[in-house]
Amino acid sequence: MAGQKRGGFAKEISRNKYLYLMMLPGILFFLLFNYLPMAGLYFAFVKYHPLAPAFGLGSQFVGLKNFEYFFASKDWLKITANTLFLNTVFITSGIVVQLGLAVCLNEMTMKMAKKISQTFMFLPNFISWTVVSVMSIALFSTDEGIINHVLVLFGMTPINFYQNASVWPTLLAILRIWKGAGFGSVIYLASIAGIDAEIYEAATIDGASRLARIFRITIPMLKTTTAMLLIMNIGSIFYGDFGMIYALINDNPMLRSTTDVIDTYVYRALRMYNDIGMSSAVGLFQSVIGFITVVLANRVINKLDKESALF
Amino acid sequence: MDTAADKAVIAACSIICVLFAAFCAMPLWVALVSSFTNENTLIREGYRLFVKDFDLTSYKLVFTGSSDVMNAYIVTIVTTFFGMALTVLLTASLAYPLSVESVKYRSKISFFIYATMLFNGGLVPNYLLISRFLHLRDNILVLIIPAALNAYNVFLMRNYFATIPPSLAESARIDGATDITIFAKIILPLAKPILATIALFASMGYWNEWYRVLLYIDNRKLFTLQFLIMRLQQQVDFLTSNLNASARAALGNLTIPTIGIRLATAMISIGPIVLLYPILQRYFISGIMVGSVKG
Repeated sequence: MAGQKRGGFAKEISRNKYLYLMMLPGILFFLLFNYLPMAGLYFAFVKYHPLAPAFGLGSQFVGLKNFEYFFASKDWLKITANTLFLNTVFITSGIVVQLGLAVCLNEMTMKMAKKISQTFMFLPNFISWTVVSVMSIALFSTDEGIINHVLVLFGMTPINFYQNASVWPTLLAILRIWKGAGFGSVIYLASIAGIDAEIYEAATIDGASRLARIFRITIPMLKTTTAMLLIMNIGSIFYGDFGMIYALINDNPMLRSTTDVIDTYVYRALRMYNDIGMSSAVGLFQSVIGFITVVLANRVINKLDKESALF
Repeated sequence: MDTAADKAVIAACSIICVLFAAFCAMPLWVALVSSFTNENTLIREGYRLFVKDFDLTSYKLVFTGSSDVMNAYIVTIVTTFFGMALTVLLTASLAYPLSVESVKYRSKISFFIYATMLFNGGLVPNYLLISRFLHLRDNILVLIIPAALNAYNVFLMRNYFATIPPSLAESARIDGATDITIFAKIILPLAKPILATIALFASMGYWNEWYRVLLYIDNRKLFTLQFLIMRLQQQVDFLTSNLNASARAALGNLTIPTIGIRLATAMISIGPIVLLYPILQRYFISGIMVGSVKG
């Protein structure tokens, strides 16, 4: 820090000593649980040996060998493609439904109905994927499931959901919307609440219909929020939702062709083959590529519309 | 005034919302109904929307047949309670100074926290940290401490604190109050909505924890409810192989309702959520709204 007096640091700390003291536990927490593991990224470059010094960090350095293993396997393209495809479907469908719900909720005039609808819409957000998987069996199982009952009732052939990989991207997207879209609409509702009421009043005086107000005012005003959500989601586009996939399909090999994502693959490599080196290499690959996508996405949005960019 | 077309828009929007709410409620309802249905009827006729052949066998088995469920319930309650308290305490005490303008390094510290949202070491280093450095395997603390603080909650809370007029703290300081007194006596009482929001988020996270159990816990006595459900899904006989003698005798030669046990366990695990959530709902909506709009 140029131009800062010596002792400026100590002076600042002593001036606000209680405030810094309050922050200390939290800062130590982030150091221990978030920053210290970053040193572990080095595992991606060693042939891990459990008895090596420094918790295995002292294992033999092998350069990019762990990455070679991963990229040489024919799996990597498939699992990366699956991860990207599923996340793209989740992000777009999620944002569209969240925005739609928020706009609709905002137009609802019956207070009671609005409140009750919202309660039910938010509830699934708090239910874990394990419970969702118990319920999804009730819906999707071949012989007893409700959906197949309905299909048979209408004279259609039942679908063997748990053996048919091609239906799962759609099913997962629907389950995700079920679980998260209602709650996700809160962010949009908050932005709608922040829109200046005078704009609506002026539009109403000029004779704009409700539909026109939705499409000419509300939705365009949500552009910044949408851009922010997009950038935040794109940052994790290379991270598969392990919790969801593991809970819903566990390790069903028949569904792997569409649902095996980077994270389930890493988990298998770690738990079944104890492959620490490759798991770390894949983790590093995800972090780096995820960071690049965030920066690129932010730059694209910056070009299109300066105000909407995150940084 | 609304024209006929405007009224049609309102009606359409209302119908969409009500339908979506019904879509959200339906799977929960089906699972609830099925958990009270006789297992044989369930298998013969499939899942339905209304109870046929009301039967409490599954619930009886879950509560009395084996100690696993009650055990998991206790572990879940303990981790949720202490985890929630720790989360609120750590988050609030880190977030408040970040909202005070006279703290010179607050933007640097904010960035230090923000960076954890962009980078992380990944599964392997975290696994080694917990199991080999901190030796927390098979320790209940692993289900409480590592999840206690995250950047998202800190920023949500900081943004809320920032909306409280600094003049309140200023006048207390002139009266000789220390920052800790100001925080405890003035700031926290004014921040109830955000404290409730974070408490709710944290409780739900702890209540639904199973991932850390999968990674770090082998001792059956430390399983959480959600992990138990996961086990029941994968291993049908997980509970029933451990049924005690009296439960077996009570069952007679009836088959053990495996689907029913899963459903009943799932239902009792979401019971407290469904009961508590409407009470907390009014707090958290305002908490999230204020916290997220300021970004």
